[in-house]
Amino acid sequence: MKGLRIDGILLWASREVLRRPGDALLTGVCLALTTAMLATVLLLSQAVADTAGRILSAAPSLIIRRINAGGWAPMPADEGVLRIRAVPGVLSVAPRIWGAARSEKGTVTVVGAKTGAGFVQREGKAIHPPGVGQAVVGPGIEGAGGRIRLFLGAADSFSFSIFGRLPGETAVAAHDLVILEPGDAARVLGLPPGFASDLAVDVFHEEEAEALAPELAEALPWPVHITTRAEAAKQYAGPVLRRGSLAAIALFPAVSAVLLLVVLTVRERASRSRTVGLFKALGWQTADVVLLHLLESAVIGFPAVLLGLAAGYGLVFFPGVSWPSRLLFGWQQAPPGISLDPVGALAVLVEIGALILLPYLAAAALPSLRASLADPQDLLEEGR
Amino acid sequence: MDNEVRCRKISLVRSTASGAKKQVLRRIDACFPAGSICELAGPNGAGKSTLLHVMAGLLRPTEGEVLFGGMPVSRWSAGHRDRWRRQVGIVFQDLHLLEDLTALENVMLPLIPRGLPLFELRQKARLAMDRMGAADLAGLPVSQLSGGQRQRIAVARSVAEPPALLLADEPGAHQDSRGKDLLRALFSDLQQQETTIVIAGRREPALYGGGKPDLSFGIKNGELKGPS
Repeated sequence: MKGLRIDGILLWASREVLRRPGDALLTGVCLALTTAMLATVLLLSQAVADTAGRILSAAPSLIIRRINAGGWAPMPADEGVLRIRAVPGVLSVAPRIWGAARSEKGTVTVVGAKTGAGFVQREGKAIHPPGVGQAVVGPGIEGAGGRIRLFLGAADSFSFSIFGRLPGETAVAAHDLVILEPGDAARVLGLPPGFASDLAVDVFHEEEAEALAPELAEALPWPVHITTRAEAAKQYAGPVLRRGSLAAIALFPAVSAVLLLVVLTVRERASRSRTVGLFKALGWQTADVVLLHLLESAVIGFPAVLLGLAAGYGLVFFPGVSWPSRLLFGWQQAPPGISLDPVGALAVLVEIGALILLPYLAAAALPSLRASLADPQDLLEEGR
Repeated sequence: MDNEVRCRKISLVRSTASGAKKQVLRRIDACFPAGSICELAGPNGAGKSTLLHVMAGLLRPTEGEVLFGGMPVSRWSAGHRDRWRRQVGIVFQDLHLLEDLTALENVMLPLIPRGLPLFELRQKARLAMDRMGAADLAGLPVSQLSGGQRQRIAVARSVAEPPALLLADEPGAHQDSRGKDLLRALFSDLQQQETTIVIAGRREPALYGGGKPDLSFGIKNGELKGPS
């Protein structure tokens, strides 16, 4: 019986929408556009944060870099490894060779990787580390004729054949990456033989990483800077959050549009007091009237918000759409492949629901609730 | 259930447009027996429509109470009165039809929240229209109907679900002789089902079997006289 009552009122709510098709269309378009704007910002921020979090969870517990008065300095790899390995609590330590280099298309990040087993699995196929003269590149790197040219200073240039490409889902971390054989990488970066850019350290107990940092610094004969995984995550998330906040401020007009829509809906529904009075005179109860107004708004609001969400999702995740990330995060190239965690996606949906649907539905229901307190005849006369 | 309606010392004071208070009904005492057809006659502005609105639970009396089947419905909370109002059919003097909707949709209106399947809802509405000889008007927007046709749609709406109490404000005002015959037949049918019928307006013998109502009340300046 209850279901049938809702069916009848839902049917009537749809009829009420059709009585004012222009209003309904305008409201729907406004809701869809506002949702699309909000969804683009929220989905992009959330997806970048989610993806970064996933990638950083696989990063080393600690990174040790040697510093001097001029900034970063290369460190002797073998000596550094020996001294760090001797510190209790250290599980493993590996010297890394990496740094920024110039290519014909802009600055890239060069990383040296040891030859051996495949290090990236893609669709069951291993991408092996490059050999001498070869490069594995990130999704954002373009090479002319299957080769990439890198420069050291103004004079020396090195050319490598592109031998593999990293999958798109690694793009947040590996967008501008060029992986080379360690010797090649050292030459491109100008590192002397036997020197490393930094040391990647894993510890037995992750929660001890921060406490171990002073002991590690003490174990080395040079001044060093140590970064924990949590600090790296903060460094990464900081700019994203900052830009996300700026983008949210830029969405002030969207929020204003929602407020305007709410005010107009309240006024429009309040102007229907005569109809509310008539319905009550004909045996409708307060709950029926409120349900009718809620369903009427839902008939417009839910499809509009779904459409807006789909548009926002498309703008963020559809391959090749670059302007939202360029506008919001200042990325200059095609956006990297990013993805949402289910929890993150749910959070975005809840945020959009709270920001758009709830005020809109409340704006529809409250005037009818208020009207129901009056005598039906007063409402009928009020509408004259 | 007993469909008797009793007005006990009902007074009503309302605010006019200028904000002044005006006593519209004065200590009205009346009994409308179950299954009777009662007439409420009087000049314009006498308080006929207002008394119907009070009896229908659309207005709360300032003093006194309305009893339906012995229950003090005018004292009930809004929610209870809303529920009870489903037993009341009302024909307004100015009809209150939704102009852009079709005649059938207007008649369906009181049935919507009653939890009926769609086909049954349409069937009941069509049956009520048929009783008022308005079946052929079902698909027409009310705005295209004549005064008499609109009035028949309003009457059909009030009986779409057979009421326990029917309050009709000048139901025969725009009706030709055929329309009045249909109204008389409808009132007679409802009377058989113990519906209490109160008709306000000018004296219209054509609406009653035998040419007169069971009870006749007169109202003037908010004071009720009768029955006779």
